Amino acid sequence: MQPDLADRQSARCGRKAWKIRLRFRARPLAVRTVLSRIRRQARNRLGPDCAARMELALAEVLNNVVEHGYCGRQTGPIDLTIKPVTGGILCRIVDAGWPMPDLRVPEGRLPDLDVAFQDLPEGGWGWALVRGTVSGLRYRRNRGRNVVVFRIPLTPA
Amino acid sequence: MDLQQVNLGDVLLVRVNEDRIDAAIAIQFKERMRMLTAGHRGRVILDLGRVTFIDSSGLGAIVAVMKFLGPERPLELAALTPNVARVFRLTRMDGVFVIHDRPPETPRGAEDAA
Repeated sequence: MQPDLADRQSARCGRKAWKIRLRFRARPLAVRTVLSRIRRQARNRLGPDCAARMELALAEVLNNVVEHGYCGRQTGPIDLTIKPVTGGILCRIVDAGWPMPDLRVPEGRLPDLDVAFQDLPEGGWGWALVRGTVSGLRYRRNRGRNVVVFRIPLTPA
Repeated sequence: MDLQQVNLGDVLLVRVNEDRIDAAIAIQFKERMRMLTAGHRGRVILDLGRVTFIDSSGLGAIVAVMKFLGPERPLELAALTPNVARVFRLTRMDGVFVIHDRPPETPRGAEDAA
């Protein structure tokens, strides 16, 4: 299914006031399409480094929704809002999937690398990558929806 | 997915002619690497010079390739772009791989598009 982009997008391209709002299905290819689109739009406004940090954080949060939030269900909608705030970019991701374990964002501890060759990790880095690129990471469960909010600083911490 | 192999004798160079290794193509990447490296003995160098984005799934796929190649056919990486290098640094996986600044020189005629 193609992501439902066009009718939910309102990108006001003024010098200061702009905002990206997207609604799309929680599927890997839809996430990829949305990220490419945001990358193109954000690069000119934010510069390549800030846009890249935002893309990485969004990719990890959105893939988490696809793989865990809607796990065991067919799929569902994701609502994404991106807007500039003082010193950075505010991102908000809303989905109607399962709540986060213990109603909190996972700690994002890095997997142990002091292991045998065949036991090296093939995943488990997602939240560490998010925490390494964003500031002010917040989560709440609101009327059956997950709301994740974070900020991407214009210059890296 | 566009992977290009260049056989350099003891070393198999694989160029990733894609700008992303992400969740959408991680499984495909692993399968293609398994096919390309079948029958090769020796080091495998993955040229990531054209890859501008990798996520945790893409990183996991590269680790999976390293593991199925085994210690006898070490997987090394080359030409990490800044965004790819950031992911390796934040996950500390830059300490697990041998990482070259640039890919090995390829003699004329060694190109073998797959």
